[in-house]
Amino acid sequence: MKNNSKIIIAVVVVLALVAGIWLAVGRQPAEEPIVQDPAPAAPAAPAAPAAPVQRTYTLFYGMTGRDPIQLSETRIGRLITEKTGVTLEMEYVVGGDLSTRVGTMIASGDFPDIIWGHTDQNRFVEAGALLPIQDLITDKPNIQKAYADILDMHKFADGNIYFLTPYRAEGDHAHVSTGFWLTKELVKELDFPVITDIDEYFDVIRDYVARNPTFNGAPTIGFTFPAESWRFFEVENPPNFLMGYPNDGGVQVARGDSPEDFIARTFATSDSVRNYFQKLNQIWHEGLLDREVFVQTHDQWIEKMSSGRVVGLTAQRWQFGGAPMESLVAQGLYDRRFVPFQLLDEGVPRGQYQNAALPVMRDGMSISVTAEDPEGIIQFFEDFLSEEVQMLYYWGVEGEDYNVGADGKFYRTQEQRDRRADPEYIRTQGTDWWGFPRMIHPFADGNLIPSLTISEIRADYDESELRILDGYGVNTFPELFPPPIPSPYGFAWDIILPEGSPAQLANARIGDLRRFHYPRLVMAANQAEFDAEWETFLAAFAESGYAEYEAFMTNAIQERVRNWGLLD
Amino acid sequence: MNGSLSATSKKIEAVSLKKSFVLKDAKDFFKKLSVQKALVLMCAPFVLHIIIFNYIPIWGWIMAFQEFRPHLGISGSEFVGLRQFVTLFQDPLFTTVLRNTFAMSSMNLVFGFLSAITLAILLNELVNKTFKKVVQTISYLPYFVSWVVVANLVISSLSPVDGIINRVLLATGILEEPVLFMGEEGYFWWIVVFSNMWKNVGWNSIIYLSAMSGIDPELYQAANIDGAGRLRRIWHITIPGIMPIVSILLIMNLGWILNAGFEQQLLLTNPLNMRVSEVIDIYVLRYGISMGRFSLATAAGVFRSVVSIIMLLSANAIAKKLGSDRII
Amino acid sequence: MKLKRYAFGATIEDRVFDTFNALFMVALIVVMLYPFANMIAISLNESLDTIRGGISIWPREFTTANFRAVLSRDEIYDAAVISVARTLLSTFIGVLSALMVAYPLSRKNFVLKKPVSIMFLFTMYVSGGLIPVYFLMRSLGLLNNFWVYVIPGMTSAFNIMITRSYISQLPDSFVESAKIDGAGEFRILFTIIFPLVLPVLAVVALFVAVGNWNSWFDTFLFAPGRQELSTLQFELQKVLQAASQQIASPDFTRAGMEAGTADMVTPTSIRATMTIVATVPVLFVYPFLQKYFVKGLTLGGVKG
Repeated sequence: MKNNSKIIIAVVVVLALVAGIWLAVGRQPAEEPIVQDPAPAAPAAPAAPAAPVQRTYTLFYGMTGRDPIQLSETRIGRLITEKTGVTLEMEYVVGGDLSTRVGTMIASGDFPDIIWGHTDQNRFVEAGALLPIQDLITDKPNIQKAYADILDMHKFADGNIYFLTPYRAEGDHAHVSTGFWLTKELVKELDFPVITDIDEYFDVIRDYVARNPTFNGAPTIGFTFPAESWRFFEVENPPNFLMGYPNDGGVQVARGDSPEDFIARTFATSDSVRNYFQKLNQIWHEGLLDREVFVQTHDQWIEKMSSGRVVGLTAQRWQFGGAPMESLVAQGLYDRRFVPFQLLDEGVPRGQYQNAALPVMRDGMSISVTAEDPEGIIQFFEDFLSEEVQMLYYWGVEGEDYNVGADGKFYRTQEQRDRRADPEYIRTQGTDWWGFPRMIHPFADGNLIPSLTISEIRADYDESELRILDGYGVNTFPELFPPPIPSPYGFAWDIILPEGSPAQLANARIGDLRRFHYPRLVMAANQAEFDAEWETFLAAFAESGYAEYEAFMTNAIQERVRNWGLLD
Repeated sequence: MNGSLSATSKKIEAVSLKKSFVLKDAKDFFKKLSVQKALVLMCAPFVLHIIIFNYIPIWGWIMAFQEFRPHLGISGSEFVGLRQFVTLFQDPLFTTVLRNTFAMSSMNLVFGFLSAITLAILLNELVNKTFKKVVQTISYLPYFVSWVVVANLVISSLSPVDGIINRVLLATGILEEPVLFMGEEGYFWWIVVFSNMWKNVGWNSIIYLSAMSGIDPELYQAANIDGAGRLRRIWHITIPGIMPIVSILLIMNLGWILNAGFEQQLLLTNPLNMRVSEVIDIYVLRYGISMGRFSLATAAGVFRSVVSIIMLLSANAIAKKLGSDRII
Repeated sequence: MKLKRYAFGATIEDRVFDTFNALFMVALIVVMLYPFANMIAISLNESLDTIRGGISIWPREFTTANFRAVLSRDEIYDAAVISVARTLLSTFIGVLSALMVAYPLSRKNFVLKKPVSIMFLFTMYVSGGLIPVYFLMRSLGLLNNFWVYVIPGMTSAFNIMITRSYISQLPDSFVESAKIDGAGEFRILFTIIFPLVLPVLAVVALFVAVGNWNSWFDTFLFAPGRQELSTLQFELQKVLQAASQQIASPDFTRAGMEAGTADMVTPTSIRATMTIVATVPVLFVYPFLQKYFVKGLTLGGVKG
């Protein structure tokens, strides 16, 4: 009997395996990208007044955390369809994880027409799934104009351009990207001080907390920061800024006059880092540091930020700029919101906290090799970048979304502005087309895009913010600090580490080490423990293979400096 | 001459005898098959089903022996033998993760079983039928609350500042100072076990209640007449009555010993407990899938399947020895 | 289980046991129910107020905005229909398949007993991985197809095993006497076995139904593009995602003030509301299955 069972099972399993392998091998995705048809079927039409060809494209929208609406069905979407002839069928990543979806897509070879891979864009490139578009765009004036200065930056090592980036170089002119923050109330009390020394920063907090141990019945929190899972960079970055370097991810880059001068080094073990955590350790023992900072969920952190109890923090503005600040406003606690400061180590002349006005070259909308109508898609991008459509994209419809003043300048009424922040309004009207190609140069009539229009920026501030700005004598928050220094290599943090490479592995290991040791440094019971922990960290770091990571980054950065030609 | 001939012919006889036995076995087999064809027909479509949907995909295991690249496919990717497995076992993080998984799984198994069975027994003994229904329904509600919500609840109730656990312990004098439970490695596994129990005990007890409802009521009446008290009745009738299903479930769960969960640990993990909180699935996600190292991820999966089968067969063999219900 | 419990007088042991049991159950109710009550409170509370913390079991600023945000999208209702359809279909098939495999496996002399048991068992521990499964669905034409919700999940080794265990415990005499009367296996299965194993079938039905009702990962992998195949849980995930929207557009100007930007709904509130929306249907259906766990079987027919 037993023998029979074994035989039966064995036969079945072998048959199944054979069937499976046969199925698998017989279904490899096409490895050759569709060769560009040199003689396109439709004649290259000049700017014809005839109605555009009605067509539909499938689009994969890879950015997660976005409202999964069919943009073509919204009010603005319909207008755009009218002008371009294109209806989009959009697929979003809902619920699951991007890598999983991209994995199955690549393995099966089933691609939609247009792909925006977001953080996984590179996997599509490596898989040969994207069509090179540099030849298709040479005769497209709108694209050339919109991307004039940065087209070359799109080129990969093989000389091809695969996507058009949506991350442009307009910079952030309304708000400060990141920094050390203090509650407005304290800033007003101190009559708009300029603080750059971290000790002074903590002194001021210490003093305030001593005088105000509770707020609305709950204990005041002197200092906090986000630290949960992928937000841990908020623990790693501050020392970098203190040292006067810009945000380059895990490295600091030395600069010079020629590409060879650009050298990337990790800073995770530098003295500045040690000092920073030493200070955090000190305020930990004083009870000024949020006791749950390393164990709480993000929701709990948001709760604290919304309660008005927090006096100081360090974080990028978007971490708390949305719902928590809304909540404070709703509670009437305007002055429990925050004012930014740029702290610097002794001897550092200026900070580079503010994101430089540079494009991010990591991803953008691209055309898949299985698309049947690549010419048509490029035409869609071209039409999308026309002034008419970009007007819809940025400002909307005159009279409804914005008005024109007597001086010809665009502006919005308060009501129009409020509406645009309402998620339901965004859904139905389609006012948010983030990810699509866009231009940042002025319109023909001289009007600028909203994020560069000072009047719009100022109109967006509320009274208490305006008072702060007046107190410091500036127009907008970024003006509080020196302007960012342009970078000939963009941001180092958007450099992609090849999958499975030693650099990627080293980076992962370094990340784990920092995640493990930094909190223990902050919470060390005494100086001896702190020192021992630091030594252990250094020793482990030495084994992490960081040199591979540094070498790769240095090389990639030098390539960029060479290719982008921004060095002058 | 004659002697060797007879020896050979004896051999031939012996061989042909064996052959006929084998043939006879085969014949018997097919005969039985035809007699039981109704039974075969009953399960055949579903056997076909699992062959298609469960066994055919096993070709994916080939990836574990390759350096798989999705766009190259199976036929295009490089064959590397056991290299992925070696990488896996040489990674100290993997062994740590293995230990964590095993520990949490075993603890969950023990506490999970004990709590579910106990709850089922107690529910079964409730006198008031309506009360019983109400309690039973409420007991499985936590099963439907997502881990994101539960993790939040767990972490906030363990907060050293205003969490309820610390407040109770301080008030009753058991603690002098609040404890950062989520920050201590020693507490983590217990936190996992207890939150698991809370979330699943009601749901897991359903199957035992169902089994209990199949116990012959006359057994209870007889025991009652013999003067057996409540506890004795539970011990001698209820528990033996559900033993078969307990045994089966135990064996199956032992096979899942390396599946200690994923979402739960992912949400409860933080830098202070990460050494004891990361499980195999998290490791596979972070070092395998997110880095595009599909082969490594597959190798971990193959390893887990092999261990599962070994555990399953061992548990089954032990059950056989102990005389309890077996699964094979 | 209505026994003549107190026919011989309630013993002290009985009384003590019952009292402790009742008290324990009350404590259990509190512990199990509190988080759920908390969810209800949050779902009925203003989002921006909830994130201040401190909500326990009563809403502080009552609002129906969260439910409106979750239920106002038309897509949810079509998706709910799909969810109901797949749940009903899968439950029926799931119960049938469990029965039809468990019965032969419960027959001690079934010639294929061992190999088939092993084959089913191994499916619980062995998997080819996501990519081969995806390929298979593709080859079979099940991608972007309603049947991907029903066909692949038709069998469950786990459900088969617990059903088999239950069937094995039935006295052999049932089947034997039926066979003597000349009944065929199918007849025996459906007229004799089936009614006797209702308790375990109710459990199987519950497991399959709830599994189907809660699933969205299969939609995510196998039918993400087709709106008409979306399931309730998938739509709820979309709502959650919309609420977590990290506003990335450079044109995003911060919201207006006192007027209160139309109720901004946070992920916390959405999650709580989702939990309620997804669980309430289960609470309605469950009592119908519950009666199978409560009543005892009358096996008197055999004894007599």
